[in-house]
Amino acid sequence: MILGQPIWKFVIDVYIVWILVYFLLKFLINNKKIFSISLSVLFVYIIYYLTNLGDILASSTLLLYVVEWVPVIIIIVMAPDIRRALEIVWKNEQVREDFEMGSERTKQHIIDAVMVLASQKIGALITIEKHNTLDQYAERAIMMNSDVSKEVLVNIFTPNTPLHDGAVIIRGDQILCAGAYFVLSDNQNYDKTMGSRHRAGLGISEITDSLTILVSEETGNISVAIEGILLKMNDREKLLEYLNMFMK
Amino acid sequence: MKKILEFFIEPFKVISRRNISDNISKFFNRHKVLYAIVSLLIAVLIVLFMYAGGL
Repeated sequence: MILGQPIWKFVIDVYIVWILVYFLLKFLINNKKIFSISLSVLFVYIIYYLTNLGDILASSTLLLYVVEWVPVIIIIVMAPDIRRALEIVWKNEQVREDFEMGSERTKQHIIDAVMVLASQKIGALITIEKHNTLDQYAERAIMMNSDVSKEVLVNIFTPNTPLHDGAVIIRGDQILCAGAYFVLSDNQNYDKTMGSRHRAGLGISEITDSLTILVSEETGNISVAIEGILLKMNDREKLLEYLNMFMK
Repeated sequence: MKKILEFFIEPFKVISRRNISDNISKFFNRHKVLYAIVSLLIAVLIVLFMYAGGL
């Protein structure tokens, strides 16, 4: 018997609570912003518990209000962060084992298309999928399932056409979909004037292992977003080098 | 409304800016087994606490 309860009950109880705490701990620690706020809340809970234990009336009554309302306030204020953190947890579950990266031909067509788009200052967002599936974004976009070709890619991003505003997702040698929308990154390390296309590319690179090629419609500059970092590509060779490394 | 809410959580933000969370998350990600050990300890504490009528 443990504190008046049979041992088997205690073991089952600990096991179930352990699983819950394990996932909660993983969720919190992998999201630093939420984790740091949670630590502060825990600190307040400890003070509340101590004041309550010591029967310190005014403090414990006031802290009771804080303890009751803070979780609600945090959920309201931190809603976007909570959503992102949940997406990351979801992402870790959705890993493709049988993936195949694009061929040399696909690589060349992507680079040719990007060069044409950059020279004509046409904005573009091309995301190449790796292990983490992008199905959840493709489901809300326009499905294409066509072979990757320079002409199709240029046509998709041509201004004033129905699909030019979203992202193209490439899976293997196929254009999976066009007109996909991603969650924007709120990374404070980058310029606040950064456009929503670049923020979208950065956002998807933060939560998946994909590579995104971006073409700026203002400057025609080419960038690559990977693992939450945005890299400027000066020329065709550098872009090819990155694609070779990524599409191994 | 958001400003009022942020005013209330500002004190918590000040406490949370001391890089404690950063260090903890770095440490946990370096030693992944800690997730299991720490969560087991917390689970045992919670259950014991509840059985003792503390929560």
